[in-house]
Amino acid sequence: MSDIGHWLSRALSFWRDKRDENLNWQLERQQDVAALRQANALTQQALVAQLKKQAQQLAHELAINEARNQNELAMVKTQCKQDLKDYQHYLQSLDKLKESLRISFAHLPEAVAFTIHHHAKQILNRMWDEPDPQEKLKLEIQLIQFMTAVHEDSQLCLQAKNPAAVPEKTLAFIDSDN
Amino acid sequence: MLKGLLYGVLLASSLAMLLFFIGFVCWQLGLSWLMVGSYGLASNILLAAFAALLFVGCGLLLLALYRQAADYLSREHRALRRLIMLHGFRQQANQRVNLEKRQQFYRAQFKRQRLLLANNQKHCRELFQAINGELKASLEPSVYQSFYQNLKQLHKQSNSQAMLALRDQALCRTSVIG
Repeated sequence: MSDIGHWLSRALSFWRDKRDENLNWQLERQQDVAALRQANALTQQALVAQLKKQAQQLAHELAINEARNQNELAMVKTQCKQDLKDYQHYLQSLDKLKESLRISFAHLPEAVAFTIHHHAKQILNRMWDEPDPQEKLKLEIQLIQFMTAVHEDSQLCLQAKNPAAVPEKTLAFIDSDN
Repeated sequence: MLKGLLYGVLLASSLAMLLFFIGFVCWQLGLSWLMVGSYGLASNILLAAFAALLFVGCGLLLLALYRQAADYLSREHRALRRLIMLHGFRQQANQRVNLEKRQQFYRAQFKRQRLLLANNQKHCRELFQAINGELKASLEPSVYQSFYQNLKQLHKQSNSQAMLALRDQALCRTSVIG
């Protein structure tokens, strides 16, 4: 019985020694642990501050971006409207051109007038759908030259004593284009 | 605390096993009253150990839930979530503005197509009327009817080139007969 008691007391003392050792270890490192905890808390605070700052910057950027996007959209809308109006004006001009041809050349068949108008409209559409600005400019010049040719033919017909039956310059233009 | 509790549960389980073994030995030795007491005590101890284990498990689960919730609601995580949300907003805003721009361009193009179509129809109608007049004047009534049907069909299809070809054909026929 005394052996068991002796063994138990030794085990108990071993356990107490280990506890003491553990406690001493913890006491020794208490300062380090406190410093680490403080450093951890400071790091977290710094991280939070940095994240908040970033979020603030991003929110500001977002607001600027939104305003810029709105402006851009408004500009695109205006540009599209203007484009549409320009296109409509072009179509009206071509209609007037056809009308002036009819007035100048009283006996001009409708088929010829239609062909001239159709050709002008084709150049206009090609110009409108062209993505390259250089090509677009070329086509615009071509359209203007064509319209000028039609106008000149009309003027010549009105001024000449023996006017031609058809707008020769315009038809030559169409031939050269084809 | 937790470690101690787990060790206690293990110890209680071991004790219960030991008591089961003692009960078995007592049964072998014919000490049934001791066996009954030993088995009863062992089963109660085992039940208590499992109950304690269950309790510890529930406690650990609740603790993990609490820690997760606290982590989710912590300042740095909230700041981080806000930052991610703002990034998402920015990306969405950019995507949205691009889509709206494309929509604007598409609408403008659609309106332009409608304008062009209306203009084409107007001129096609004029061409139809003019060619019809020419055919009526130059063809015999019986021949004119068939040409008129063809012309009408082509007008319905808005096929101006074919209408012009039909006119040429009719005029050729007239000149050959004439």
